[in-house]
Formats: sequence, structure tokens, C-alpha cells
Amino acid sequence: MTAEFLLEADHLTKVFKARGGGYFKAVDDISFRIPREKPLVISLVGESGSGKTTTGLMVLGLLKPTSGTVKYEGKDIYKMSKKEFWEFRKNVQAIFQDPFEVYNPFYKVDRVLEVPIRKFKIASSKSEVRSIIMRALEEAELAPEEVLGKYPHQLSGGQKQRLMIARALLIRPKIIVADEPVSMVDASMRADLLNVMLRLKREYGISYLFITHDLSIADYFSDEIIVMYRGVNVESGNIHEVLSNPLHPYLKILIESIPIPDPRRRWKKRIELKIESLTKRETSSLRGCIFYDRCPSAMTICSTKRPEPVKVGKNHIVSCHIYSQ
Amino acid sequence: MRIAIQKYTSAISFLFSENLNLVAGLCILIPIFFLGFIGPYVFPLKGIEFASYPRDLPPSPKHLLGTDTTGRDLFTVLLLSIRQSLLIGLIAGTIGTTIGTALGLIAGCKGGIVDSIIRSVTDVFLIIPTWPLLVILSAYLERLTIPALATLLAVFSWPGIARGVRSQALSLRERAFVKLAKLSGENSLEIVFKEIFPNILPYVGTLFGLSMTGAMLAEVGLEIIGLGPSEANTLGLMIYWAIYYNALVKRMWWWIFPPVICLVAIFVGIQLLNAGLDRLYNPRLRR
Amino acid sequence: MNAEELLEVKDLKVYYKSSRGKVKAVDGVSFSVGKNEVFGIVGESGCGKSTLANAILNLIRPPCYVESGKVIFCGKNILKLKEEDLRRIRCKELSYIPQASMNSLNPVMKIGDQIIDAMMAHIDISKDEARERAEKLLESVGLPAETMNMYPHELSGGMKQRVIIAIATSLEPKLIIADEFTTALDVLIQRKVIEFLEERRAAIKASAIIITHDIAVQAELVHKLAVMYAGRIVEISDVYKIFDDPLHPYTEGLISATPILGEKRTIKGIPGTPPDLINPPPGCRFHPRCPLAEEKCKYESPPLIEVEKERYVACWRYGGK
Repeated sequence: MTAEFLLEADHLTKVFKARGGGYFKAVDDISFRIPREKPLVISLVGESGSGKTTTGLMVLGLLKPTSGTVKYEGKDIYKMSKKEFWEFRKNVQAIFQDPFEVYNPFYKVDRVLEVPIRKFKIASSKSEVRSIIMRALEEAELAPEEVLGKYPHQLSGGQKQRLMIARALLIRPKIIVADEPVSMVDASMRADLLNVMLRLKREYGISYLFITHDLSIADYFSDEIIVMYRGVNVESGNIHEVLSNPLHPYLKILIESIPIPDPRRRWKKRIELKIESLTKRETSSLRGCIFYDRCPSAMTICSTKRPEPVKVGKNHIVSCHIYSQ
Repeated sequence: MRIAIQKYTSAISFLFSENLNLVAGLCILIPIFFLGFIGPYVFPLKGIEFASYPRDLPPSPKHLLGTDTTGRDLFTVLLLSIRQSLLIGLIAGTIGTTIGTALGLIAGCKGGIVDSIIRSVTDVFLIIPTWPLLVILSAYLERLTIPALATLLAVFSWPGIARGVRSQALSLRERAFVKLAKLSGENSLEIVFKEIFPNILPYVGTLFGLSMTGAMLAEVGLEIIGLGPSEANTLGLMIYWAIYYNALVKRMWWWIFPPVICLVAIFVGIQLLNAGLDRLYNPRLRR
Repeated sequence: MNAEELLEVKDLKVYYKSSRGKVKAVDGVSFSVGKNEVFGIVGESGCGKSTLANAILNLIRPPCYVESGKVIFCGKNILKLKEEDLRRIRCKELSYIPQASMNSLNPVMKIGDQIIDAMMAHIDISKDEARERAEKLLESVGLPAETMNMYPHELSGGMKQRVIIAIATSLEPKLIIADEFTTALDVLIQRKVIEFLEERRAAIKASAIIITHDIAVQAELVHKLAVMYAGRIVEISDVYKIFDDPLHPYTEGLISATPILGEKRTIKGIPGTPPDLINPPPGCRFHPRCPLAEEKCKYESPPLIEVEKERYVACWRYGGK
């Protein structure tokens, strides 16, 4: 019996022990599904501290959730047999944010391509290794002589990210978790990288869990969106539905605060955003809505009761008391 | 061929302009190592037994460093002493660094109970005052051989190394390239030895230098108070005899200064080398 | 470029020696900034904009050096001033918000003390008066009075940035140079920080040079925008005109590379990579990546010429000899 979904994240929660006692909930009940029939791009959008990277790490199996499950092909990844886990590993890969950190400075960059080939038995003979690498580089639009045999510090950020894409191509996973893949890359290179990633989705049916703080890029790249604030899913759904009709006060302020590359559309008025609390992080024992202390539309109920997710459109869900009947 | 020479000379001149520490360190250490290990084959070894020559002779072409009160040629004694001292340092350093690195890596990478056990053991060893214990042990063991001494010194140097390596391993464990290695299918052992270990090599190299000098210094200390092994010539022993026979009072500078200068040179050389190597490996310090 | 300008940079060349040769980080840059004007310099990593900022403030240290050129501020060449004169000018007339400035706060001093120190070092006021002014300053950037008694590590990135803005504008300088002052800030905080900087600036009628790679931030803030590529300025123009009708192909590339929320256009990148500044390509430095490059572009480097009033571009397509 094959599972209905390729990947299921169910009520993922991660709690960390804070320094000096107490705890803090980095991720609070996040769920989403990636179907198997056609490739889908889901964006996790949020600012720093929203828990999006932590969610990504849990989906990759690199961080164990405090509660909740990650299921691949219907099976909980922490309950899999060795063989099943290997399949999961092979099919759920990542592209990380910092091109300067992902490469072990001790080795040449080729190693990043050679190790997965060896481990996942992608090549059937030694000569095939070379041709597989060449093909992947070509598809990622990288000239082999530019990158092979070089050390990480000899390549630019953009080249290193492209190489990561080539690596993903080699492995041919079903899902790629891309954590801010272009935020540390120059603007002129971003479009190319994003377009290559989109092409992979079309040609090879790869789905993405796209983690970013940039709403404009999320809009360009994804099909669905989950807006996260301090670990909580505040609004989610089909990206066009959500962004053309943003409902959650946080999302509305977020959209308004993006600078637009057009001087004729400058911000009109000062935004009224309450000053953030002086202590950087409070222990999460808030009973009410997570956005209560900064929300311009806060009501009394918001300080005592957590809003439940409410369906407000065909594929549009928001967690805010303004919209709960 | 010409290109190779060109590359070589430009690298050397770059080193000179950029990394004075490395060059200076090498300039000091290479001659000393030469004297210690190659010297005995190059220079004639004569007059190592007592009463080979007239005693208390100042330096002359025949005796480059003169003779001591027991009639030995001091230059020969120095050569052999350098070798022996270096050997003690190298053996103690190697044993200590190997044990310390292995335990530090296991503790840092594995975590959990294993880490706690290793950390407790390390802490216990660190609390024990090294010097008094060394003195007591040396006094207790009547015949302290050189290998025994080297091992003893190693036992005292590994905890510091383990602690340092552990913290390095802990921080390296969190780096993105380790995450990528896990995603590429590398297992824990491979991650420790292929990903983490190469990155702590420069640090381990520095620690090795330090433990080597530490061991040599401890040996000199023991010798001077008369507790060290007297079976073989070391720089420490040389200083001991010089003090015993009142070389300073007799104005026999050729007996007391050479070993001291050699020791200082070795220590300074190793420190400079460490600084130079650190700069080489740490790109942020470059330029 | 008339004599009334607050700052005039004339043919500035800043190089630095590296093991592989001479890196021409800034290679012949000229521009001027008027009074009460916000001047933006946009460019990607490695174009030399940070080196340019440091050079204008005479903060260049070996192995970096000024090869030639002048930086005239209020009639004086900054590059030729002595250290004491420089110190007098810095903070009081010319202030600087450096990159990653959140880290430039003294970690062992309270915020209030740092501001007070800066003020008392330059103007003759009593400690109490300085304290009062400091509190008002913090208020003007949206920080409560309690911040005075806090240490930097107790504040978030956005708050620290605002403290830096407060310090940088505390002595009401004539020119503020801000180098990537919003990088690493979240979207909401970024907006607040930009708003506060602009408010403070307008309040003290200072000019500002805003250096950032983010062209959208430039669009929000500046009056005039200069585009920098491979150590050279390729276009300078009024900000509205430059977005309506970018002249230089690189400028156009930069603008088309930025997605706009809600607009369904395809974003295009610029092929290739920025050039090596030790051996830049001959002729126009952008020619290997330029979709409109012609033969001439490969051999001769186009000068920065004025094609309209206050619009400059360095591209053979617009003439010039």
C-alpha cells in the first residue's frame, strides 16, 4: 500500500533549553504535506527566530523533533529500517544558505560531488563517475574547468551555490530543502540560480521546501506558502491566494515593509509597530496569540486564547481571532 | 622544471615577507635538529668517557666547547645531549598528543555518557598538581629510565590536549559541512575522521609543540634537582653537572651557557613555528 | 560639479598589494554630493564600494593605499589632513556607520556611557547635559530611556543598529556615510531603521552616502544613485530617472534581477561573474557580461560622461571619445 503523500510533517514541535533555565519553543505545531503526483514548492517564510530553519532541519532528519513526526512514504523516519532510511536520505536533500560554510575547507570541492556518488551508488563504474559529474555541472550551468580541482576559497559564492545545485542534480532527490539558497548570493546571480532550480522542478519533478525571509522571492518561486512567526504558522495556503489577500496582521505589515525597487512606490506612512521587548527572547509560556505584544489590531481575547486555524478561502488558512467566528 | 623553481622561489619569498614567524622558527630549529640528529654522524664523537682529556679546558680548535671537570669533550656531550632531549620531547609529545587527540575527538563528537566519562577523567588529571607528583614519582622510582620518563611526561600532557581538542570538535560538529556530510550518507566514524579531524590538525600541531616543550622543561627541572635519569646525556643533565661542579663560580661559561642557549632556542623556535603555522592555516590571520 | 558641493571625490584610486599582484579596488572614481542630499552607491560584492567608503574617511591602512585622487570635504582634502584634524572632523562633521556596525559597540560599556563619551569628546558640555541629550537621541530612534543603562549584548541587532545611528547623528554632522547599514536585519526592523535614519538625517539637514547592494533600499532612500562595478562608477543619475530609464546595461540588469511582490515578471540575472580586480578585462570592464557589447567595448574603456543634466554614464553607446 503506497502512502498518499511523499512527505508529511505532522505537528512538528521543537523545544530548546534556554540558557539560564527555562525553555523556548522554536517550532510550534507545524504541519504540511508534499504530494507524490506532481512537484510542489512550499515556502516557509519568516524572519529570524521564526523557526523556519529548525523546521527544515527536522524535515531533513538532522534534528529530532520534540514531538510530532516526519513521515516519508508513509513511514516515520525515526522508525524506519536501515534500508528505508537510506532511501529517505537519498531522496530528501538540501541546499544550504551559506556557500562559504558548506564546504570542508580541507578538501577540494570535487569531494562534495564524489562522496554522494559513492555512498548512494549512483555510478556503476569508475568511468561513469566522471561523466555523471560532467553532466551535472553542465545542467547547473557551470564550466567544469572553472570548479573542478579547486579549493572552496578559490570559488565565488555564486559558483559554490551552483555546485550545490549540481550536487543535488547528481543525487536526483525527490525533495530538496532549500534554506535561504540565494540570500548570500549577489542579486545578478540570484535569478539564474532560482531559474535553474525551477527548471529542475519541471524536468525532474523535484519538490522544494523553500525557506526564505524574502516574500518577493517566495512569490516568484513557490506554489504554496506557510508564514511563520516565532514558531507558529500564522497564515498559509496557495501563494497567490494568500499574497493577493493577506489577512494576518503580521503578514500585512510584512508585505508593507518590503522595500520596492521603484522610487515612485516608496513607503507612504510610518508603520506603527510596537517596539520589540527589551529582552531578546522570553521563555515561551504565552497562553495567547504569539503576535499579541506587537499586533496593532490586538483584542482582549488575543492575550488569553490561542487562535485556531480557520479556512478563509479555497486554499487559504489563517490563525487570527479577527477571522474566527 | 623552470616553472617549478619559479613557483618555489616565489613561495619562499612570499613566506619571508608574510610569515616571519615561520621562517624564524625554522631558522632556529633546523640547525638544532641538524646538530642533534645528524651531528653525531658528521662530527667525530670523541672523549665522551670521563678523564679522556685534561679537565676545565676553555674552547679551542681542538675542543670546540672546551672540556668539563670530568675531562669530557663538551661539544660531543652537547651533541648527544641535544639528541636525547629532543627525543624525550618528541616521544612524550607524540604519545601525549595521540592519546589526548583521540580521547578529545571521541568525547567531543560522541557526546552523551562517553563525553561525561572522558571529561571527568580529564578533569581529575588536570586537577592533580603535575610538578609535585612528578618529583615524588621520580624520587620513588629509583631507576628512572628515559623511556619511562617520557611516558610519565606524556601522561601529564594528554589531559590538556584532550580538553582543547574536545572543544574544537564540539564547535566543528555544528558546522554546515558536517550537516552536508550526513546528508551525503557519511556515517559517524567517517565524519569524525574525514570531516572533523583534518580541520583540527593545525590546532593539534600547535598542541604537540607545546606538549613537547612542556615535557622537555619538566625533564630539565627534574635533572636540575637531581631526580632525573642519569643514564644518558640530556641537556638537563649537562646543566646539572655544570652546577654540581660549580662551573659558574669557576667562570666556565662554555659549560653552562651552551645547553641553556640550546634549550631556550628550542622553546623559542617551537613557539615561533607554532605562530607561523597558525597563521598559515588560519586564513583570517593572513595578510 | 560645482564648488558649492559638500563632498567632491576626484579620480580616486585605491589599490592594495596582495600576494598575486596589485588589486585595483577603486580605479578612478569621481562624484560629488551636495548639501542635504542623499547619495546612494549601489554595487555587488567586490565592486569596491566599502573600500571607497573607507577611503573617503581616510581609514585606509596598509596593505591598502591611496594611489592617487582627492577627497574634498568642505574645501579641505581629507586625504592630506593630519591625524588631529581628522579626529576633529570625524564624528562632528563627518560620521560613519560601518558594516556590521552592531559589533562596533563596546561590549563592556553601557550604552548611555558610550553615547555620552562620544559627545563629550567632541563638544564642550557637562556630563548631565550630555546624558539628557543622549536620552533624547535614543527616543528619536524609538528606544526607551532604559536603554541607557543596558549593555550591547542585551539588545537585539535592530536596536544596536539604532544606537549606532543615534551616536552617528549625535553631533549633527554634515555628512553621514552608511555602509550596508541594513544587512542582517529582518524586514520589519529594516524598515524601522531606515525610517529612523531618514528622520534623523532630515532633522539635522545632513547629507548622506548610502552604500548597499540592495537596490530596493536605495530606491526608498536616495535622491541620486551611483552604480559601481569592478572599481568604477558606471552610471550616476537622479533616482527616479535611473529606475524609469536606466542607461547602463549593468544598471538595467540589476533592476531586472530584483523580483517585485505581486508582479508576475520573470527576473533575469546577469550572466558571468564579476571580474578579477588584479587583471580586469581590457576595455570596458563589463563587456564580457554585457548583452550589448560591441567591438569598441573590448579594447577601450569608456569614460564617465554627462549625457543630460546631472546624468552620467560610462558606456560607448552614449557617445564620448
